[in-house]
Formats: sequence, structure tokens, C-alpha cells
Amino acid sequence: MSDLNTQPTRPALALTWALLAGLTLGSMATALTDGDAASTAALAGTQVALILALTAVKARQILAVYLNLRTSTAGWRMLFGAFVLAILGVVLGGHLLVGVV
Amino acid sequence: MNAEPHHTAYAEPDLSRDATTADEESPADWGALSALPGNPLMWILILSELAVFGAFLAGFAGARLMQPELFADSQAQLSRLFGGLNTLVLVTSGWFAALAVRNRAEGSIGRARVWLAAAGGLGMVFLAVKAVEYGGKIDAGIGLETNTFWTLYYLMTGFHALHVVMGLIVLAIVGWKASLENLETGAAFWHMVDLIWVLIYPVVYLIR
Repeated sequence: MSDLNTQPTRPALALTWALLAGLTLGSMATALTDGDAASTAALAGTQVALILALTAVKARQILAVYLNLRTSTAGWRMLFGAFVLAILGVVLGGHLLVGVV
Repeated sequence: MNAEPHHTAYAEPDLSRDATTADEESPADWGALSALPGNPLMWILILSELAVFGAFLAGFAGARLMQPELFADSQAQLSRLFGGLNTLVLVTSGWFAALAVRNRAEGSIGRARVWLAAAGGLGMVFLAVKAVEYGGKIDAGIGLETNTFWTLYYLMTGFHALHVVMGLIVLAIVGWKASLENLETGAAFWHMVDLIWVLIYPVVYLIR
């Protein structure tokens, strides 16, 4: 059971929201560099890796601050972080294998 | 939870224990899960949902590997801007839900309910945008069986939208029964919905 001292502060929550919004816009900008919102052109591997890296940071922020996992143990933080990284790693691996398989 | 065995109505009461003692012992029953904020059962649900949607996303990546052109052509018919807008809507809604918990921890139930209502309002905006998206696709003759991309798109985003609806109900319930633990647990469900969308958006809408 948590109390006021374990809750994220208002500035921390505002900063987290700004970071999440900024990273979302960053992901969109990375995916739409050709200016065509309906583009079918394949993204470069670095673009895909960057989008997924930004997503990993967003997921980490939601877990740590919104879900307040930062107040839990290192083991739980690692477990959830590893879970997210595993999902995004499979997606990245699948993308890099396109054209190889 | 009271771990005491159930006695018959005629059993002698144990006078060495009282209700206060029993209540004080209850938080220790969850073992390692006690280290997690809010109700531990919610974290089991969060792990389960991450596993389910993780499997969905892995399946999506695998299917794209087999049919990259079909996936690129189909994805181009999605509105990447609508998807991005909905991401902004949900992360803002998550912020409001976290502020509700913060206000409740400070002792203000009224302000907590206002922030919770704002979070729920944005949840409805998310559903409205999704309805516009679905409507456009259905009008264009794109359905669940059009091809593999659209099957997975409808299954994943539809299942997620169902979680948004469930989340709205949960937020309404914890707004009514507004203890700090209830609010923290309800908000955790909402943040899980947010987290899952944050993972779905780039995979389904952006990467090609």
C-alpha cells in the first residue's frame, strides 16, 4: 500500500507526459521523413531501430512513473523492462529478416 | 485477506486476536508481489496482458516477414496521423489518471474524481477516433477477412479497444469507491491500456 511519499510528484508527472508526447511525435517524424503519410516505401533499418528505441523509452517511462514501478524492487523493474525489450526485440528481428528469409 | 480457517457458528471465538490484528497482518500475504504498488492482482493481470499482446505483436512481425509488400500496401491505408493522435490522447489520459491518484493520496477525493473523469473523457475520445477509423475502413470495403494484415489489425486494435471500454468501467467504479488503493489499482489498469497501445502503434502503423 503506498502513501503520498511514494507517489510521483506533479512536476515528475508533467515531465513524463511531455517526454511521452515528444517521443510520440519523434516516432511519427522518423516514420514520415518522406512527407507522405500514406507512404509504402520501406524504412531503413536505422529508422526502424530508432522508432523501437523511442518506444522502449516510452514504455519504460509509463512503467516507472505512471505505474510507479520505480518504488518497487530492482527485480520487478528488470522483469517488466526485459518483457518490453523482448517484445520490441522480436519485432526488430522480424523487420531485419525481411528479404533474408 | 483473512487467512483464518472457517469455523461453525458455534465455535468458541479466539479472544487472543481482534479485528485490528487481523487487518494489520493482511498485506503480508502476497510475498514478492507485496513490493509492487497497488493491488498485486492487478500486476498479475498486467503481466498476462503484456504476454497476450506481446504474442500478438510477435505474430504480426512474423506474418509481415512472409508478406512484406502486402503489409506495406495495407498499412498505407491506415491513418498514421489518427494513430499518432490516439497515442497522444492516451498518454495524456494516463497523466490525468496519475494526477487523480496523486490528489487522492493528498486526501482530496473531489479533485481525484475530477481528474479521473478527465482521464475517462479522453478514453472516450480515443474510442471516437477509433470508431472513425473503423468506419472509414468498413466504408472502403476493408474487413476482418480482407487479408492477413487486416485480420491482425482488427483483432489487435479491437481487443485493445475492448480493454479501453473495460478501463472506462473500472475508472467509474474506483471513482465511486474512491479509496487510495482502489484508485491506484484502477489507474494501473488504465496505464496498462496506455502501455499496450504505445507498443501497438509503431508496430502496426509506422514500421514498414
